[in-house]
Amino acid sequence: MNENGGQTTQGIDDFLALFAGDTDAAIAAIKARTSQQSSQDDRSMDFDALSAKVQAPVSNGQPAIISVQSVTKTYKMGKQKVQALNDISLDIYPGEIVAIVGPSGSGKSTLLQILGCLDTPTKGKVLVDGSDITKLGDGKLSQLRRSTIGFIFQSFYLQPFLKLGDNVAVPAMFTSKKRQAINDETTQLLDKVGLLDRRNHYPKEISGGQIQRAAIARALINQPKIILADEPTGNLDSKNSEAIIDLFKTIRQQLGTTIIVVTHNIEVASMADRVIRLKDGAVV
Amino acid sequence: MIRPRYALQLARTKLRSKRGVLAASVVVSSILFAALIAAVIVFTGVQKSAVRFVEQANNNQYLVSVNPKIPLEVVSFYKDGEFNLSLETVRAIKAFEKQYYEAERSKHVAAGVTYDKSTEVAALKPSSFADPKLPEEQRVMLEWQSPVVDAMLVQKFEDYAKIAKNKTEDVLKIGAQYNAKNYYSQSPSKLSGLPALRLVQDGKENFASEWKHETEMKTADANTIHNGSYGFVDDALLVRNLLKTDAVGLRGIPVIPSVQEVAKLFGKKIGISAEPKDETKKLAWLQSVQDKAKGFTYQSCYRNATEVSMLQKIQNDYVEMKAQEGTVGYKKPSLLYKTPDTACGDITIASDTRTQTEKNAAAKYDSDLKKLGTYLAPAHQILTFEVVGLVYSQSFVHSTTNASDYIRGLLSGNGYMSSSMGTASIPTQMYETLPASMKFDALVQKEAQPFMMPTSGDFDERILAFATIDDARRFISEVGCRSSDGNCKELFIVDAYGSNYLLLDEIGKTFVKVMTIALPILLALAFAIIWFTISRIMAENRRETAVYRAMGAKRGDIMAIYTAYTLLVALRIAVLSLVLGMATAFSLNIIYAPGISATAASMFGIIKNAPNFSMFDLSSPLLWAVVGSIFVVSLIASIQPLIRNVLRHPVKDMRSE
Repeated sequence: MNENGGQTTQGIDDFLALFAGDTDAAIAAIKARTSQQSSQDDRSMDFDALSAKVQAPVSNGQPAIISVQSVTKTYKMGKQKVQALNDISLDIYPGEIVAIVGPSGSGKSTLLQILGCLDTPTKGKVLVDGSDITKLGDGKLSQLRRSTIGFIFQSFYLQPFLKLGDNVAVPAMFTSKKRQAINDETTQLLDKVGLLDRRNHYPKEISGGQIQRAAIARALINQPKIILADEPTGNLDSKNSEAIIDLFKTIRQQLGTTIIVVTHNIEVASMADRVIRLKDGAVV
Repeated sequence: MIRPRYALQLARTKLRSKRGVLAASVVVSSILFAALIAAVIVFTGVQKSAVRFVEQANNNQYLVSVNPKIPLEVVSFYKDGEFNLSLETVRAIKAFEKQYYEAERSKHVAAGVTYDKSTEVAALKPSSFADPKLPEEQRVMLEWQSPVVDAMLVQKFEDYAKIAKNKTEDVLKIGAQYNAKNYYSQSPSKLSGLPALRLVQDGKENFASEWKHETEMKTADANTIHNGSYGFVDDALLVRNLLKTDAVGLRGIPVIPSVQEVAKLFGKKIGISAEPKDETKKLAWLQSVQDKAKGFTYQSCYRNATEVSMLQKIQNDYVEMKAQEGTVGYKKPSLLYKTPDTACGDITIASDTRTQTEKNAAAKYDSDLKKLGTYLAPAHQILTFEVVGLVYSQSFVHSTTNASDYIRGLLSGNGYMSSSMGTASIPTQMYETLPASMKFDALVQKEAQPFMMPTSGDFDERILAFATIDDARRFISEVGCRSSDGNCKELFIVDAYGSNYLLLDEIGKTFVKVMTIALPILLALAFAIIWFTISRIMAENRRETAVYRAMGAKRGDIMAIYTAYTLLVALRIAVLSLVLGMATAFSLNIIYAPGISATAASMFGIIKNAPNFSMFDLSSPLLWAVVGSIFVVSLIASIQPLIRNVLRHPVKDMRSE
């Protein structure tokens, strides 16, 4: 959609490209997005007001922890090729909080998936913590995700049949950490996000805000250098959204973690050091 | 790589999703496997129990009855499938008849007796049914009443015996090649039955009693005393039936009749109630019959052929006189005998109005027979029998009407299709200890024997004993034909003896065959169910799998989680299958085992210290193979959905995020 509410051909192409020909999934996403959009629109930011933040990154003399170099991502949709990202280049430095904003179908999620080593670009180069992800196999990519990246999702994705403590520990289960170490780290993180007393509760027994805080604790269990958050406040009310923003700030402050947030939320974007605005697959 | 405990922890969470599908899958698969497990448990129990009975009944031997097969042309004048005597046979009979008459003439001349050929019964008689196209010489049929025919059959058999390769010595020689460790004999007693041998009851001979034909094999041993049908059997073959093994103090000819006949004939006298229908009560009943019948004696009167003819004359004269009653001018027979007043008493003359000429002619006839050595004076003798054992008259598979009969038929085999069928057994070695006065040997020797199938000596039935079922089976399959083979061309007819251990063996092999068909079908069904369940669970959890992948899980980690999940599902199926299968087998055992134990005990004749028949046995390796197959099938069923799942791009499953 363009900013006036109309649709552009490029936008539609980008959007459809995300589903790689799966039209049922595309329709379902449109429905979900439509209902979600109506609640978010009230709080959707006027990105122009944040123009001051759309600025060059500050390296502080450190090399970029993420370097995106001329990345293009093209999907095949039937016989048609759809370009989701178009020659994007950007650097993100350690300790930065970066918000990626843009209208639906602008390529935000595709970019986030590439940054999270879940997807690879069609063209260009992506360096994550010094590793060129385009040259890594599945095993190395998994290792990179496990050790360097923490994911936070809009829908939280806590395992409903695991207690909160175990949910937080899940990413550590894929490492060689010892059980005691995992327990200790889980305790510390639950304490940090204010959920220690809820350790033995199941997700259905706690509120949405608490669930997202648990999801953030989970993302931190392997001490990642980078947190990738996809609409982390998308399913939260304003009060819980503020709490999450505060938490991100604390994390950056205490752990020096780089936080990259895809968001429609103006408050989330406004707390970022830098806002990267995407439109039709390109940085604007 | 994810640690097993974490893989299990994460796998367990999936057991809680799609619970309905999972429960249905586990229950249906478990029922399939439970049926298999129950079948294995029950079969193992039945087989082992049956083997215990077989071993106890047969003294740990596997017995095979061997009957020499006498070629049809030796015992018949007709060629197989033909109704007319061949011209060659007709001429051969005529030639033999001519020689026979010459020999008879010489014998009579030598004895000083006039030979009258016209009194002879010719071997051939014209046949009105013969094909008119045949030459007249050939349009004849045999006269089986002719002594010429008997004599010619004897001659044919004697000729055959000289060249036969299926005599006892041959049986033993062949048996030795198959590791036969012993052999036993059984043969008819040669004591003629009814009307020659008649049971004495309540101090009387019932001259009206007739031979009771067996309408089915089930009652083959139920009328042996009544019919006077006895056979000799080596003691060793009767061990399980003998109630008394010591020959000392015998008060009569030792005999092993059927329980049923003893109960029917002497039940009231010795206080035996009717046979209960309930199998579990039957064992106690059999025990009581054994206790009461052991040592019981009864008597039969043996009358030789001359006396049997005199009794027949009494009957014929009575019929004639009854028919002619009131007929003017009818003269009753000039010589009338009187039925004996006492049991086994003399047959006396009631009236004799013969002329002196008639008396002289009769006297001359007797005199001539004496000169020729064929005179048989009227004689009778009381024979006393003592019950030294009992046999339960068995039913056979084809005459079954209920489960109990079926099991009897399945396992039985004592005397089946052998010479002992339909006879009460006399233990040979025990009989031989009797004083001559108690035996019937002299009676038998004095009788002029009509031609019978040659059953004595070299061509008697032999029972070979093998140490292993394999040797017995090999002998049976390689030597001769089974009695059920109507077209047998071999030298011997061989059958399992004493118990149907071969059938058990067959059932075992059939079970394995059935399992080789049923197992793959059940495994395929279970495979489909488990594949469907695991595919569904994986499809439902794609988003979660993608999230795990985003968290850094490798493909191997995802595989480990779902493999653990598959094993957990398999474990549930295995446990439920075992519980259901064992419960089913246990229930069947509780319901049927006591009855079958009693049935088997009575059928095998092991009344005391009979082993228990159990339908519950967990010792078969097949059982654990079935349980193991649950895990194998589950793992195989999970391979395809698992590979498909881990090869999916996580981004695809996170798209709608």
